[in-house]
Amino acid sequence: MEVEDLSINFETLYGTLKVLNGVNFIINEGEIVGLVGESGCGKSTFALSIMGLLPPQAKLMGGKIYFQNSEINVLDEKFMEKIRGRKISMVFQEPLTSLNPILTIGEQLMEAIKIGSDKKDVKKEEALKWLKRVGIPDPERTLKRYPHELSGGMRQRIMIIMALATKPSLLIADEPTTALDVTTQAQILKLMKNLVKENKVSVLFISHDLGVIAQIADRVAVMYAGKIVEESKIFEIFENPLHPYTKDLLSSIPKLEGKSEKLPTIKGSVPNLLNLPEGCIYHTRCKYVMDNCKVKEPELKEYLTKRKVACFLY
Amino acid sequence: MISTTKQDMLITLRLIRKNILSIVGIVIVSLFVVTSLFVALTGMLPYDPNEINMQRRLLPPSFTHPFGTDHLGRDIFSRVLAAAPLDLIVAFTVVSISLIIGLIIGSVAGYYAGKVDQILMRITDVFLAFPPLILAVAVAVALGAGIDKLILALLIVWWPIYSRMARASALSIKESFFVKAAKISGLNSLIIIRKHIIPNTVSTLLIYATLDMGTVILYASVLSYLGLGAQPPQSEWGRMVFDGQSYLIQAWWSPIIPGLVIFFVALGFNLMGDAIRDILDPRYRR
Amino acid sequence: MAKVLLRVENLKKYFPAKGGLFYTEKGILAKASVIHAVDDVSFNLFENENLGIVGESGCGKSTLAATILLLYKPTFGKIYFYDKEITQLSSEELRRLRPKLQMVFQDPYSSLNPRMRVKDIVAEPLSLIEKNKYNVTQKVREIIVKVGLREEHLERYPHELSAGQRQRVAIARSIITNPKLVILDEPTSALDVSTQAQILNLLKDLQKEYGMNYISISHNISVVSYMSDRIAVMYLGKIVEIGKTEDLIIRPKHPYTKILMGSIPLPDPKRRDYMMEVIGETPSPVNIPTGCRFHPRCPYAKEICKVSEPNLREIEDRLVACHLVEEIEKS
Repeated sequence: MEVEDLSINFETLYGTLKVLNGVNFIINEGEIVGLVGESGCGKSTFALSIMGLLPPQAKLMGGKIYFQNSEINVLDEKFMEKIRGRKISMVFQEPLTSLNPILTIGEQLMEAIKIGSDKKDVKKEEALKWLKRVGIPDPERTLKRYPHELSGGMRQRIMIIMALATKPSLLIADEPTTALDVTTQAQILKLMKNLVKENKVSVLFISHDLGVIAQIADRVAVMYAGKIVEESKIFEIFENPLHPYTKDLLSSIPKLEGKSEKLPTIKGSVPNLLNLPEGCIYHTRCKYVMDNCKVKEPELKEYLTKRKVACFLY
Repeated sequence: MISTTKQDMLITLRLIRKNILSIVGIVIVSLFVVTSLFVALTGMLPYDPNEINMQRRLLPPSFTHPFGTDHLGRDIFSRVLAAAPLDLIVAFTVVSISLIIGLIIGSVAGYYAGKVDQILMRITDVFLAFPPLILAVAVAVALGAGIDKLILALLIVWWPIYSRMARASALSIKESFFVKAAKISGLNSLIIIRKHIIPNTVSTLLIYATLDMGTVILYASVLSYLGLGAQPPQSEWGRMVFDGQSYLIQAWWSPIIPGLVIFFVALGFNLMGDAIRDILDPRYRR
Repeated sequence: MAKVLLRVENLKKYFPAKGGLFYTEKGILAKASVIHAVDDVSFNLFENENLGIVGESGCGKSTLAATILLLYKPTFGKIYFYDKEITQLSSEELRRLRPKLQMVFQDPYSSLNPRMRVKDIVAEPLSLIEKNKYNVTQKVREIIVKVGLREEHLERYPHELSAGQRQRVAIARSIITNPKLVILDEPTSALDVSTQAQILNLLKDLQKEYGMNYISISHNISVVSYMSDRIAVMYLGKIVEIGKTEDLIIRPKHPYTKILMGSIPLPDPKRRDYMMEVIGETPSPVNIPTGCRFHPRCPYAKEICKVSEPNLREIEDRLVACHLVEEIEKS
C-alpha cells in the first residue's frame, strides 16, 4: 500500500476542517506499521479513507492511493466493496458495536470464513480451529453464544478472526486494545503479533498509546494535525526522536520507575483544524522554533539512513 | 475570531435555512399566534362571527367572504379567526400545565427511585392504561360542557405522558457524574432536582410539547365536534366541522375549510417541533 | 507517626445482581446473585500522603471511591475521618463534612452540568457553606486562575471548552471548599498524553499550595505511580497488595501485581519481552472463586490457594494477601 499526498477536508457547519494535509505513507509487505497521534490528529480518518469508508461530509482534495502496485479509487464504491473485507480488513476499537448483536458468534464466523468449500461442517471445522488458535476456551459452546455474552477481550479475539479469516493482505487495526484492560491488552497484542507472522499480512496499527506502539510495531509514523511529522524504524524513534513533537510527546508520559517532580509538558493546545497556523503546523508550540518555521512549511524528507522528518532542524 | 455565542447563532440560522419545512412550520405557527393575539386584544373581525343572516346562507368563497358562509349565513372566515384565540389558549394551557406537572412528578420519581417511583408511576400507569381519546371523552362527558371543563379533561389525559418522559430522562441524568459531584458537594436532593435534573430534562420535554400543541388542538376539536367543550354560539374549529358536515354536498367549504385550518395548524406545530429538535440536538451542534 | 486522615475498616459493598423484591444487598434469599463489588477492604491514609489504587475494570475501585465518599451506604464496615466514624453520621452532620471530602471524575464531559455556566459550576459547593455572595465570587475568580484558566472562561458553558479545560473546571470545583481529601477517579483517562501531563502537574502544584491529600484511582499504573506515595492493588473487590510506589512497581510480590506490572506496554521497544501474559480473564464479581480469588489464573497456585482465602499480612514493609509469597521469592 502506498499513499501519495492524500488530503481530505471535512465540510462542517463551522467551515472547512483540514483533516488530512498531504499525507505520504507506505506500508510494506508483512510489516506492522504504527500510526500514532493524539485525538483529532486525523489518524482514524486516514484509516477510513484507505478503506473507502469516509463519511459523507468528507471531500477528497487530492492524492493517490496505490494498493499492490495499482492505483485504486477509494470513491468507487463497487470496486471498494470487492476489496474491503477481502484484501483489506479492519478491526475497530469497540468490538461490541462491530458485531451483530442478534446473530450467534458461530453464524457470524461462518459468514466471514471464505474457504473453497461451502459445506457447513468444513466451515465449522475452520471456525473451531480459529477459535482454538486465538485461545478462546470452550470453542464449541462459544459458537452458539451471542456477542453480549462474551467479554471485551473475547469479542476482540472474534473480530480478529473475522478480519484474518478472509486472508487479507492488509489489516487495519484502529485502537484495537484501547477499550481493554491492561492484562487483556497484553494478551491481544501478543496474539496479534503471532497471527500476523503466521498469516503474512501487513498491518496498519493505529493508536494514541506510544507504549502499545512500542510493543508491536516495526516502523512508526507520528501524525500531528493531519500531517505525518516523523517516520522511522521503531527503535530509532524511541531512542532518538527527531521531530520536536515526537520528543515532547515521549517525554510527557509519566515514567513508571524513577519519579520526576514535574512532567515536561507541551505548551498550548492542538491547533484548530479550521484555521491551521502558517508555516510549520507545530511552530506555535515548538521549543526550537526559528523564524523560518513561521513562514515556510517543512516537507517530510529523508534524514540520515531511512528516517524521515518534517522539520527545518534537520 | 467570532465569539462563540455569535457563532452558535449563525449555525442555528444556517440550520433553519437548511430546512425549508421548518420555516413553513414556523410561519404557520407564528401566523396562528399573531392572529390569535390580534383578535383577542382588538376584537377586530371582518364580520360579527355570530351574526345570523339567512339571506347570505351557504355562499361559496368570494372576495367578500373568503371562506364562504355557513348554513346560518355566518362568515366562516370571521368564525375561524374568532376561534383562534380559544384554541391557542386550550393548547397552551393543557401543554404547559402538563409539562409542569410532568416535570415535577417525573423528576421526583426518577431521582428518588424505589418506593416513591413505584407509587407515582403506578398512578400514572392507571391514566395511561386508557386510550387517551376515550378517556378524554369520558371525563368531558362526566364534567359537562364548557371550555374550562374541556381543558381539565385534556389535562387529565395529558400529564401522565410528560411524567413518564421526565422520569426516563431523570433516571439517566441521575447517573451522570455532575449529579454525583453535586451530591459529594453536599447539595440536598431538592436542590439537585431543581438545579441539575429539571434543567436538563426540560429541553427534551419542550420539543415534545411543541409537537404536542397540534395534537391538543386536534383533540379539542374532536371533543367540540362531539358536542363537548365549546358551546354555541362560541365558534370553535371542531364544532364548525360538525355543524358544516350536513351541508358537505351543497357547500363543501362549510366543513372542509375549518377542517383544513385544524390540519394546517397541527401540521405547523409538528414541523416547528422537528425544527426545534434539530436545533437543540447536540449532534447537530458539533 | 503521622496522623491517620482516613481509616477504612473491613469495608464491604454488595449490590443485588438483579432488580426486584427478592434480591437484597445481603443476598438473604439468593446468595449467588450478589455482586461483591468491594469485599472486605481495609487501609489507612496518613496525613500528607497520597494513595493510589490500581486495578482492572470490575475490580471495585470506583465503587470503593464512591463508598468512601458515602455516595453509597456501605453494606458492612466502617470509615473513619480523623478518628471520627463517618459511616453513621446524620444527614446534617454529613452535609457539614462534605466540603472536606471531594472527588474529580473521569469523564469531563458528563461531570459538568451542560446547562450551567462555569462560574456557577465552580461556585456550587462553596455557596452551600459561604452565604456571602461577594466572597464566593472572589474565591471563584481566584481559583479559576489557579487551575490555569482565565476569568473569561467563567462565563462559558462546558461545551465551549476543550476536554482539558473542562477537567480544570472540575478540579477547581473540587478544591474550592479547601477539602482535606480529594479522590481522583481516572482523572486523565479521557485526555491526550500532552493534556494529561498538564493536568497531573496542575494537581501536584495545587497540592503544594492547598495541602490536600489525594487518592488516585486508575487502571493506568504510570499515572497512579506519578501521583502516589503508596499504591494499593485491587483484584475482584479485594486489596491484594499495598506498598511504597516505587518498591511495589519494581519488586511486586503478589502474583497478580507481578502480572499487572508485566502487562504494561512500556514506551520502549527494547523491552518487549517484559510483557507478560496471563491466562484467562477476571471472573465475574457475582461468582467469586473459593479460596484465593486469583488462584484459577495464578501460575503459582497450589492446593492451599483453592481452599483458604489469604489475608493481607505484613512482609518487609509491604502488605500482601498471598499464601505463597515466601516460596515464590525463593524460587
